[in-house]
This record gives sequence, structure tokens and C-alpha cells, in this order.
Amino acid sequence: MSRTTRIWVLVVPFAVALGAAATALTATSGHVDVPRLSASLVALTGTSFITAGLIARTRRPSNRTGLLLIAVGFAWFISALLTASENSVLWTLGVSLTAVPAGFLVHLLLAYPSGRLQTRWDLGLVVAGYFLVTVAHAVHLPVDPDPLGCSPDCPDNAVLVSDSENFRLFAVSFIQLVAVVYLLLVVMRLVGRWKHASPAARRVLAPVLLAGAATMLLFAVSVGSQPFSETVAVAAGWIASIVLIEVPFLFLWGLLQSRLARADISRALAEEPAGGVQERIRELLRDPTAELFYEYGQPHPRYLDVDGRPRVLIAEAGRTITLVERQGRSLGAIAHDDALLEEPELLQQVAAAVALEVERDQNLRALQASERRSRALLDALPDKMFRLRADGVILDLQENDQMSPARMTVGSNVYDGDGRPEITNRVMAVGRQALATGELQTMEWDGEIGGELLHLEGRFIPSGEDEFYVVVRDVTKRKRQELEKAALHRVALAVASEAPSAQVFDLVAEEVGRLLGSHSAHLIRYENNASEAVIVGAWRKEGIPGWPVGRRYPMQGTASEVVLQTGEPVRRDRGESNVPPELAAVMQELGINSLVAVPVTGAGQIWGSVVASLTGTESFPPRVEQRIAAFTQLVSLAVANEEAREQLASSRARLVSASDKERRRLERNLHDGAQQRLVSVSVALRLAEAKLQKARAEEAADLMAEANAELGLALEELRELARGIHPAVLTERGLGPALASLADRAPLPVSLEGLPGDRLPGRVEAAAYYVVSEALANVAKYAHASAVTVRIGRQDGRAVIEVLDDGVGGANPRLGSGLNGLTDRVEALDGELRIVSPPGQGTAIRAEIPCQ
Amino acid sequence: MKTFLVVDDHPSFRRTARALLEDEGYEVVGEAADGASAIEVAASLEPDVVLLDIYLPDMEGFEVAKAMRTNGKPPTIILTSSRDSDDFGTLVERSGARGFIAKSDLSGPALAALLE
Repeated sequence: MSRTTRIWVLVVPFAVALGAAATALTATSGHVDVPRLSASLVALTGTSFITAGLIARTRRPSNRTGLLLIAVGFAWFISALLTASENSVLWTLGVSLTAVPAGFLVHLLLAYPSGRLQTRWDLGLVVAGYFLVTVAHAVHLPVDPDPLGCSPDCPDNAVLVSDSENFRLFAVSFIQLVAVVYLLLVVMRLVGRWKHASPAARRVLAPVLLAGAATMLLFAVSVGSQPFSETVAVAAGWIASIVLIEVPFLFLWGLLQSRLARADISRALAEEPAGGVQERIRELLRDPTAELFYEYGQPHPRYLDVDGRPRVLIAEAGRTITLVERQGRSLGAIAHDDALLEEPELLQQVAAAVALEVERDQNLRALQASERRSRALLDALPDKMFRLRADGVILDLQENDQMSPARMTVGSNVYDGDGRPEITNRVMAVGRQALATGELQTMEWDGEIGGELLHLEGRFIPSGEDEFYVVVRDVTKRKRQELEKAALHRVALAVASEAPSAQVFDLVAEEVGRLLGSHSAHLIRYENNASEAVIVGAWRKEGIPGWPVGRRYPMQGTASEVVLQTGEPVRRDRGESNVPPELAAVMQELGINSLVAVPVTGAGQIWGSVVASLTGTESFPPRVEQRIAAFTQLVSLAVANEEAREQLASSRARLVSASDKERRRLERNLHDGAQQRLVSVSVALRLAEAKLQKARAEEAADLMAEANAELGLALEELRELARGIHPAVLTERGLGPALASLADRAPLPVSLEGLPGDRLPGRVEAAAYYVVSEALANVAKYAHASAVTVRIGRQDGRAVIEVLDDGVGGANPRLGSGLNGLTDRVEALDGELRIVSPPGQGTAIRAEIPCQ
Repeated sequence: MKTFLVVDDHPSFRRTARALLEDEGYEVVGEAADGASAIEVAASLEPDVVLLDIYLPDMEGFEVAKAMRTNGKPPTIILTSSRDSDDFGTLVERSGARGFIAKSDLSGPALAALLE
């Protein structure tokens, strides 16, 4: 017999017997007011409490509420039974026990719904209640001859000591006062609990507490109004008794309600999408704060909330965690209000339904993850997979739809296929090696598939004695990147090792040509305001015609012209409408069928282009020009470096050559000038000496005079020469006096403007001096000018030197080596020299040299 | 009396050389300022000796000397220069000239030593 069954067996017979006795005795009692109504109330109240208590005890064996309900019912029956007795002692005992049900009732209400008192306050109230309903309530019996107000019909008070009206009034009033205060305290406590309860708790508390509090209030009114109005007191007592009947019924109703809710749970959850489970749980538990956590991770479980945030599973104050499990496997947890512990069945039902739901959800996710993995696997699948026998028979063949189908079928032999025999032989050799070693082998080769040349990688995996798998992947892109990187490395290395420009340019042409798989490639530089192209680097396969390095041709109509205009790569194929006649003629001459031209930039400008060509009937694959553009952009950097290096080298060469030339000039000047004169003087003096010895003084004097004049000229020439090497006046007195001296010696009028008062850095002064000196020399030689203006100024930390003449103009800096030398001298100081010399409008030379 | 042709592009030197030669008792029959006219004048005047500067505007004295040796009556050639003979290495010997006198050393005894 189970525990739940046992209580019914134990309680029901007693309850029935006691209830029947009490009801029957009350109904037949001679001293009970309205005996039948009273009997009905006794029966109803007692039965309802005991029944509700039994149900509660059955459904919540660990909850004391059921016991308290049963206790109220029994106390009720016993009190009624005894007070209906005609025996004086029994009746008096019954009277002393009339308030006991109220004590249990207070206990029940304060301990509801757990059956346990939650606070010391509650405990105090309950203890005080039991004291009041037993000891305090019994205090007035010795002085009250008619405690129930039914004399003379009812039996005598067995414990009456004094019938003093004063004592009775005092005792009764005292008890009534205490009772009223006490009942009000209980009501206040119940109202307080209601106010502070969570929404879920209120749902459980509401019906019982309201009815209980109402009953208490009515009892308080009944007791409190007795001294003033018998009618009010009696009426309130009756109403309280009727309301009291409701308390267990309300309790039963609450239980039935949660049972009804359970029936819906599984269905409700099943209909909800995964994300809405938590909302549904809140609704079902009537706890808007309930949260669902999903469990994951083994062996140490971790939790995520429904939004996917990691959460730590800790029960906060007033909250409880209920685990969600299914078939012993933990799937998650529900955090909810403590009050829901009063409805463990509801919790269990919801948790079980949630478990089903979460499991279904997990299965769905697992399925999705599995699909994702399958898709990833599918994406990573090789382009082709063969299973081959050692003799070349294809046993199995799988291919990715992104690659065109192999022209082979299962059962055929690779040796009979139309693949290149040397590739087939290599493939089979590597396959047999895989079989011999039992280890994975790899091989790379170029193969044409679907008209496109691809770089393929094969992995050979032995399978059994006589078979192997060949897993083929298209690694063209990777291979191309590797090749481009290596090519770029070679170009950069050539530039860094200061290889001659011609060699670097040839290399650029070769690398681009090879990367494109072309027959020839030319690196072209734009010159003369981009009206002309000059080939600076060339590469071609043996036997392929082409143009030599150094060849110049007009840009008009070339692909390079389009590159310059658009800045974009260009592709041209013979016979197409976008080929202009000039280009068509060149393509015809060189047998070019397809060409690609890509820009090469330097110092932010399009410097030239690389033109790669294919002869015969071959054509470049589609979009090849876009592919190579990125590479030539990188090459451009190398070319720009190379250009800068070349310019620097030629500037250095010019400086060295100018220096040599200057030495030669000095030597010549000394030889032809001062030295000749000194030789003449020497000879003349020797001659004069001989004349004097022969006493031909007159002739000697003539020779001496001639020698003297010659010596004077020699000195003047030496001074001039020294000034040319480096004018002393410039070193000692600065640019202003040096230019003034230069102007004095010039063969035409020179006006000086803005001569600096303070000194400039020595190198700047020297450069400025030579700019003016060389410019004046040029003016004197070529300009046919009538006047020259020399202007010196300072602007933004730079010295600005201008020499302006009114001559014929048309000076070409490329032709005049003197001007070229000046450019080098000025640029060596980070300066800039500009010559503006339109024909017929004079020449303006402007040099700007930083003074820092 | 030996006849002389003086070849030099510097007039001051020609003038001084003429004075010195005449003072030493030689006859200066002509002067030339460049190689081409020197060859021409030597062919027509047929001097005994040519005092020939090595650096001439149009050609070097060595070439002029070579050309003069083909004359019907080749003159004795004395090369001169404001430079030292070391500057010319073996060129002087190979030119077929009688010798070299630096301009600063030009004197009667030096000439006599070569011509005897």
C-alpha cells in the first residue's frame, strides 16, 4: 500500500465516523441554534477541509498544507460534536475547543502554500494563535456561566467558579479585544504577503489568501461587535462560517487549474518555433521572468540563453533552477520563480515538454550543421577524381561540374585517350610509384581543359594491390601567383644589383612575355610628348620576328596609344574592327595574331607599356590583359627605380665628363696662353742678354720692352684663368660683387637686380655664379642680344636666379653642353633649372636652388 | 748661311725666334702659322732647316714633318714646343726630325749642337 493510499485508508473512516456523529448530534441537539443549518455547516466545513487536505496530501506528500487542512476539518468536527453534547463535562470541553479550528486555520493561511512558515513573524503569530485558541480562550470559562449564550438549554458549565457578572464581562472583553487585535494582525500579514508576492506566487496565493483574509476579517468583526450588537456579531459569524467553507474549495480549484494547464503544455510547445519556446514556457508557468538555457559542451556543461549568450547557471535569490532532461541526458535548464516549486507537477510537465522540444531543436541544428559540413566538403571536393588500375584502365571517375567533363569513360584505358602521351605516361608512372611505395605521391602538369590552359595538381593515393586514386585539382591561380612572385623577384633583383638598364628592360619584357605565354614582348617608352614610342626592352622566342631595342615609331594608331589615353590594358586581335590600319600593318609585318598592351607607370605617370604578342593563329585567353595588369603595376615600380638610377648615372657621367673637359680646357689655356707668352719672354730675355754682351744696347732695350709687354699679358691671362677656375671675389666677397665683376667683363650691357646683401651657402653661391656666367657666355655666343638682365631673389627658402636676354631665342638645352652641365650642377643641390626660349622672343633661364 | 722656316701659331714666338736666329747668323726665309701652309711654304722655299712647333691648330708637328720628308729636298727639321720632350715619348725620334729643343731652351748653342 502506497503512502498516499494509506492516508486515505487511515483518515477517511475516522473522518466519516466523526463527521457523521457531529452532524447527527448537532442536528438533533436541543441547545444548538438553527440545528439543521448548523449541522449542514458542520458537515460541509469539516468535509471540505478534510477532503481538500487528503487530495493535497496525495498530490503533495511532502507538503504540510494537506495535514493542516485535515487538522482544521477534524478540529471542526470534534468541537461541533462536543458542543452538541448534553453532558456537562463534554460540553464544557467542547466549548473550550471551539476556537481551535481557527488556530489551525491561521496556521494554514500563514504557512500556505508550502505548508511551512517562512518567517519568525509567521511563527510568532501561529504560536500566539494556538495560545489564544486554547489557554486564553479557556480563561473566561471559570467566570462565564453561559459561554455560548445558550442557557438554559445547554448543559452547565462544568468549570464555573464564579458567576460574577463583572469578572465575566472583564474576561470576555479582554479576550475579545486580544482576539480582534490578533485577527487584524493576521489579516495585515496576509495582505503584506500578497503585496510582496511575485506574479507567479500571487497566482497561487490569490484565491486562498483572499478567502482566508476575508474569513479572518469577518471573525474579527463578529468577535469585535459582540459587546455592541448581538445581531451584527451573529450575522458576521454566519457569513464567516459560510466563507470558511470556500477556503478548501478555493484550494482545490487552484490544484485543478494547474492540472488543466498541464494538458496543454506539450501541444503548446510543439506548435512553437524554437525561438519562442521561452515565451511559451513563461506563459505556461505564468512566470514572466522564467528563462530557458540550452546546455552544450562535454564533459563540463556550459549554457546559452535563447539569444545565444553564454550564461552561468546560478539560482539567484527567490529563483530556482529546474533541469531539462530527457532519457537521462541533460539538455538545458529553466530558471524560474521559487513560487513555482508549489506546483512541481506543472514544472515537471513543462520541463519534460521543453526537453522534447529542445531535443528536437538540437536534432534540427545537428542536421543543419551536418548539411553545412557536407556542403563544405562538397565545395572542397577535387575537380576530378579517377580510380585507375595499374594498367591504365579507368575503374571509376568523378568530376566536379565546374570543370568540363573528361573525354574518358569508366572502363576505357587512359593510354587510349586523346590526352598528351607524355602526360599520360608521367601520370601512370607516378601512380605506379604510389603503388610500389604505398605512399601518397604528387605531380603537377599543364593541361588544356575546355580550351583553357590550366595548371593541375594530382595526388596519387594507392588503393589495394593494383589500384590507385588520382585526385586532380586546378591550381592555376596559385601557380600563377607563384610564377608572378618569382618573376617580380628577378626584376627587383636586377634593379637592385644595378644591372645595366637595357638588361633590366629586356628582363621586364621577358618576364611579362613568359607569364602571358606569349611569343614576344616589348617594353616601350613614350617620348617626345608621347608622340613617339621607343623600344627599350625586347624578348622573343627563337624564330619569332620583332623590332629591335632602340627602334622608334609614331604612336599614332598603336595599342600603346590607347593604353596612354585610357590608362587601361588593351587587347587587339587580327581582323577585328577595333584594329586601326597602322596597327593592322604592323601585325601583318610581324605575323602577329593577338596582342596585349598594359601600362607601365613611373612617377605617377604612364611611362610606357609592355606589348606582348602571339603569332600564327594563336590567341590570348580571355581577360589575360587584366590578369597581367597587376603584375606590370609592380614592375612599374622597378622600372621607375631603374629610370631614376639611369638618370642619376647619366648625370654622374656628365659631371665626370664635364670635369675632364674642364681640365683639358685649363691645360690648353695654360699652354696656349700664359705658357707661350712666358716662353717668348724667356727667349727674348736670352736674346737681349746676348745683345748686351755684344754692346747692342738699343736692340736689347727693344727686346726687353717686348718681353715686358708679353709678361704683362701672361699675368692677365693667368688671372683670368684663375677666375675661371673659381673666382676669388665669389669666395671672399660673395655673390653680389662676383656677379658685378662678371657683368663688368661681359661684352654687352648687363643689368643686375636684387643682388643679395647677405651671404648664401657656398655651394649655392657657386652654382648661382656659374649659372649666370654660363648663361652670359651663351648669350654672347649665340643670342645676338642687345642687353641682359640678371635677377637674384629668394622665395620660400630657395634662391631664385634668372637670366633674361632679348636675343633670338630658340636655345635647346639638349644641344648646349654648357646648359646641360648647369642642369646637373643645380640638380645636384636638389634644385631645378628651367629654360624658356621661344624662337624670336629671347631666352629666360631660371634656376631655383634650396638654401638649407 | 743656313736658311730657316719658322712654324708656330703664336706670332710672339715667331717674332722672338726670328730675332734669335738672325742674331745667330741664320737667314729666316719664311714663317708659317699652321701645318698646311708650313708644308706648302717648305715645298716652295726649300729651307735648309724648319723650326717646327708640335702643337699647331690644324695638325701636329709630327705629321707636318712626315709630309715635308717627301719633298724633293727634304729640310732638316727641329721640333719645338713649350712642353718638355718627355711629354712626347718616342714620337720625336720616330718622326725623322733632327731633334727637339724646348722653347724655353732655344738658343744659338742649342741649335748649333743639333745642326753640326
